[in-house]
Amino acid sequence: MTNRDVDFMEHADGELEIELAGDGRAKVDAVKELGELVRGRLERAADDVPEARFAAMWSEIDQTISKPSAKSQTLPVLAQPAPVTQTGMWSRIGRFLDTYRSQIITGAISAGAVAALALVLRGGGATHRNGSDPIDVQRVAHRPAEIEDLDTPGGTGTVFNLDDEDGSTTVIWVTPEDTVEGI
Amino acid sequence: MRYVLACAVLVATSAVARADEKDKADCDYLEIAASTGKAPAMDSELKPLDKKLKKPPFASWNTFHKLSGGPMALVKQKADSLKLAQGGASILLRDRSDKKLELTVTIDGADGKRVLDNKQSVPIGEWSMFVHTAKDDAHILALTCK
Repeated sequence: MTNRDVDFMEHADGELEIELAGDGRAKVDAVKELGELVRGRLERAADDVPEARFAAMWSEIDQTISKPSAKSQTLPVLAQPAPVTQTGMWSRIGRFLDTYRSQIITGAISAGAVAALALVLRGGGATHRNGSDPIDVQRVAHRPAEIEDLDTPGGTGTVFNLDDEDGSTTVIWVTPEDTVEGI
Repeated sequence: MRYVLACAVLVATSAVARADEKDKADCDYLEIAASTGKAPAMDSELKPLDKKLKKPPFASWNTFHKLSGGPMALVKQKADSLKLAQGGASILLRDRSDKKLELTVTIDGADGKRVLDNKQSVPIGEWSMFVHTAKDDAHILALTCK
């Protein structure tokens, strides 16, 4: 290669401006054509690599998609209840609960709501039950009774209260005027 | 939808039940004969009143026997008669609230004579005791309602 050829190559690359004669122009055109060919080949090769990768990716995706379909064919078999080998009461109760789980939960929530409403409707009577007494009674507060009217024909009436830990007991004590007379 | 209807029915039922509760009262009564004996004695059925009967003025007797007793359901404005071992009684629920019961109690002696006529407003669950003394003995009617 001569220096003159180097000038032609630089000119073809756009690095040097020179006057081209007929032979020089032919060389430059040949160099440009050769460059185009090489560039085209390289681009083609570069394009071929991603395509190969995409092909591999699609192949993988196809395999992935085809796997669930294969699984789905086996799922119904897995979802089917196991052969009933346990016929005991607990297993039957368990199956019943599994089958009607949503209904049971709905029922429980409904019952809770009704219970809450019943408590709200019941009002503010701050009462409690005394379970220790044989006669179960509701107590509000240990207060005596209010006597509105008392008539004790043939006797004398006395009213008093007995307070103890069990509450306040109102006692109406009638003493006959003739204490000899029995009841 | 079915659950909503079921809830509505339950709520309505509870509301009706609550209205019914306001028109009635559940009572228990004990008819007691008090006397003085050689040895103290008290029937086991009188345990709810055990502490009270051991205190004055009931402590002047030492023997307490249950003559009759039991539960009694009162309906508002409807007098309920009690056949006692010694005489009789009538109890009327005039009205009630969440805290109190308005009662009218009449007691007749064994001879049929009126011993007591009383109107009182008693707190729910508290005892009322009606004592009719005679010589050395006493006839007691104890009543509690809720």
